Amino acid sequence: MIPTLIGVTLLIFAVTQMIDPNIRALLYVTSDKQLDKLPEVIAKYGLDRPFYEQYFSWITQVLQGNLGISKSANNQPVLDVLLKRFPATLELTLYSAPLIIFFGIYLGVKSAVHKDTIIDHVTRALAIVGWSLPSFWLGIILLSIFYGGLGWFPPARLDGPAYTFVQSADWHKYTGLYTIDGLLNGQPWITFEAFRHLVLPVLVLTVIQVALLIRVMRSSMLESLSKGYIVTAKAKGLKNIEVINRHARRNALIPVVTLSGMLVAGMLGGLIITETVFAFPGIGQFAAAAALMTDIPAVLGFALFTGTIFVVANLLVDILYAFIDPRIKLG
Amino acid sequence: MKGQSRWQEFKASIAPSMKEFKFTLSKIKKSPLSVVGVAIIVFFVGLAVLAPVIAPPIPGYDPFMMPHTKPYGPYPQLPSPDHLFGTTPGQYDIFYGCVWGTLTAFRIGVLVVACSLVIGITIGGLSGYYGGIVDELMMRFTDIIFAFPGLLLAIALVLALPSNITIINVGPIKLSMGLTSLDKVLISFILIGWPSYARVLRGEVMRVKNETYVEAAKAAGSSDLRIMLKHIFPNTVYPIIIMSSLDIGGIVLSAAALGFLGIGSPAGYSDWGRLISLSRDYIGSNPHDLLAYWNIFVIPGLFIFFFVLGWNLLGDAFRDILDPTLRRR
Amino acid sequence: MEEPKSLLKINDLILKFYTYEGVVEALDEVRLELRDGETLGLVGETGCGKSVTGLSTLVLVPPPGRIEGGKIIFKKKDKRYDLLAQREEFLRSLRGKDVSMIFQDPRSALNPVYTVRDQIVEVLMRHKRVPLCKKVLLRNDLSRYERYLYTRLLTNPRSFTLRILSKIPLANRFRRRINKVARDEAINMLKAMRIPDPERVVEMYPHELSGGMAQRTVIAMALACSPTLLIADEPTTNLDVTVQLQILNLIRELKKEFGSSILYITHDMGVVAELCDRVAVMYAGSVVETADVVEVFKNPLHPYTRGLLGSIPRVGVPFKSIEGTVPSLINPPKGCRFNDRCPYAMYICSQVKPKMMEVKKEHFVECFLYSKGPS
Repeated sequence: MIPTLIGVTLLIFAVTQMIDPNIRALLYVTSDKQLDKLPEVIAKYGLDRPFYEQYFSWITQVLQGNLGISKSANNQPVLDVLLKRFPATLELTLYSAPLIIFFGIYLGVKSAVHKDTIIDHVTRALAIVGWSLPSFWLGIILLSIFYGGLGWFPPARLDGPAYTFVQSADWHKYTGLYTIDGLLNGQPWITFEAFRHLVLPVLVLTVIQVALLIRVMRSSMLESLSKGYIVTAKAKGLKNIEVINRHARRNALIPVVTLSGMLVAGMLGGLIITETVFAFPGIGQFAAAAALMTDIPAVLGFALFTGTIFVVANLLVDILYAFIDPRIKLG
Repeated sequence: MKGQSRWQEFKASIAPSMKEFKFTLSKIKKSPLSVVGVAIIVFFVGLAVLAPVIAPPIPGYDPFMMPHTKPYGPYPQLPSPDHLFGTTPGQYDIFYGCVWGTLTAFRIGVLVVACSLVIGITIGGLSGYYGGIVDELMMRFTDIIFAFPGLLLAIALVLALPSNITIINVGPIKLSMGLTSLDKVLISFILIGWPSYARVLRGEVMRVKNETYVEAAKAAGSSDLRIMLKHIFPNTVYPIIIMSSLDIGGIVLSAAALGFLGIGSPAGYSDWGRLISLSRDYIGSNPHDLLAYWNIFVIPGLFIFFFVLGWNLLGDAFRDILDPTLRRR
Repeated sequence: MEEPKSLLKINDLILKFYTYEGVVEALDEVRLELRDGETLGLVGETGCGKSVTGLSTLVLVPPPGRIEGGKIIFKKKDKRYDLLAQREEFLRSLRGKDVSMIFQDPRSALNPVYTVRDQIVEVLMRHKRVPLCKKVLLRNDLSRYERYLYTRLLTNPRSFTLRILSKIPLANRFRRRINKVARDEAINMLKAMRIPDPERVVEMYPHELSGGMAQRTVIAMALACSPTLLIADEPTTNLDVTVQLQILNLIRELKKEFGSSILYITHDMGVVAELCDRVAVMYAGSVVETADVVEVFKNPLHPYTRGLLGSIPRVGVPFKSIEGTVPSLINPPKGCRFNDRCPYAMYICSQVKPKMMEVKKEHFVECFLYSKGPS
């Protein structure tokens, strides 16, 4: 795990090093007057030093918790911005992931058990359609109908009176998740408002991601159903549902669990497009805006943040895998 | 007479493969989803080929840039006899953009997947066949690339890649090339894409190289290259076929997403995602207008959707058909 | 006319597989009879249909297979049932309890994510819930609540309220009683299988077991509910030779202990000689000869049986084999399917399929060589 993490940092750093030092120097420039003093800026921040020197100084900074200053976020420290915005992404993931996993498993199993029947064809067709939809397009369409047309489900995380309320002194921040904090603060209407804003992005995410899960669950289930222990189970006189749920599904779930883990990791790493479309103040939206403004520390910091989540999630998934498959031994 | 018997020999030797091929074709015909997929792709191919005829470019201008019509007003227009799909804010003709966008989509999808394939197969194949340090290194490297959400890496690469690269700088010969934004997107997709192919092929090669028929070929004295081409490749290529046709759809989707963010092609370029990005202003501020001017995002989006759907259907059908464990039922 | 002693009688069973390459006529009017307390060997080479005959008895033939004719008559508690005409519910109550099966590859027959205990207990819970509840009620350290629940279970094993209760985390603690009793039963079964240290083995996973132990587990699962009929589908083929002998001896002893009749499917004539009382020889989808085992070895009547016995390698004797190959079952030849390999073939053999006839006492053959009609 550690070598991968180091590799991740190396890769990000290498990518940014490709950028001309002059452009990178622009980051440190606060006024137009300094534009002709670029060489001095480059020298001052060591932007033309050898790769390993710059990398080393950057890494030492990172390990002290300093990810640089983000110019796209009004010169706030990158780490602060990321931490402040993370709860939004977390909330999105919190409500999408269970839906995706539940429907993915349920529909995948149904599809496999009724292979080649109408249920199977319809489910697979819907899954392929879902997978082919551009997420931003679906998002805009839903917004135009349900927000533009009907006004039911607005974008962003909160607006209007709810927004002002959570900025005020009456609001105590417990978890950073408005859906939960609303109840903890005794203000259920905040929870309601938060859910109202969550409906569309969660819907978009679910529709698109569930397709992959259905496909994997289905093929895993089909393979499981063709195994010898299924005949044994039937020969014991078990009911069909028991055979499917207890024997086939339990084995088929193993690869699906790892996929779900990576799915959640990917979502926590920032849903760049979804957050941008819905103006949801998560880390993904921040990264997209930062990239467009060539805010290198922000992009670097975000990449590091996401990379770490991925690596950690990978490790957790491996451990989980060892738990559910008795053939694997932790080594 | 000798030539005749050689031909018979050849036919006899490929007879089992021909039987498999016919079986595959019959399965394709039976699956309605794959037929639909093929139909969609054929439609888009036709559209791409006939683009200059359906949407004639303005002479002297880059055919990929959409025509800008007067009067230059900020508001988009709904479909009319003048503009079949209407215009965007900024008065770009949507019909033109969608038609030529087909060409852009094919260019992006096919180029990226083809290059990723070639690189991925070579590296993955060598890594899987020879193993050892080369394999270890490749696995670590692809691990690192996989640890990133692809879109972010693509954005970072697009930002980082210089606009001018020097390909050859040997002595007096200096060859450099200018890279447009779109080129950078393509390159970054290729750099991110090849590891998947490499991994899959490596896995397949490792599985196959221990099979008995490879041992037999080695015992018979075949060279490594011959073994790779004749025995290993045909048995490992199926998952790659499935992956690539699904990937074309995926790449086009990702490119559209980048276009939507404003990365890749310049404003006014015939790129479906970029077209939709022109409607971004309306999302936050004028939701009612968004519904009123539905054509500015619904229509290009439909193009993206159907294009990707076609390839996904095809890839899915391939998977059903070519998966050996599911074949005989 | 059914023999009063027959436990299982298969009459004219027809089984076809509808595949892409064509219709495979796997079983062509198979006739088989198994009597109370006997071990019937079902012999034949690979592909002759003996395995699917076993599966058909349990009515578990997977699609694209379809049973298209015949009767499978099974005796349960002195009543006879045609299994092919029964409802699935009834068949499920038979499987695992009255008729059990053990399989060729024990490793793939066991579910890799469940322990030995789980898999044996599963069949016990399915069929022997009431006796297990009785055992629980014999204990004297039950709480009033538990005693009440288990008495309820005695009268109504599938009680709805109890099923709901067993899903609620804290309330379902009552299940540990029956789980413990079932676990003890499982350990007893393992002991009966002559497995050393059963307390440890019962918690192991299939991949941790050796081939022999895995097969003993499969046998334990099959015999857990004391079935009257045990179908053994080549249980020793995938095992080492030394282990084979152990398992064969085990089966012989278990038959005496549990009192089951066995349908032993194999391709090994040596095993048949060791273990079986009677033999049925199968070729290309039909049973061609049935007789007492000694009689068959001494006096093989059907040309195929003769060829089979003659081809057993013997030191000093030149090796003989049967000429030709098994015909494809997709468009099987008219008449007797052994016709093209038979050294005694007559014209009629290629036109009409011979019927099973009792040529000597208790010795049945399907061959025109022995028919007394016009030839």
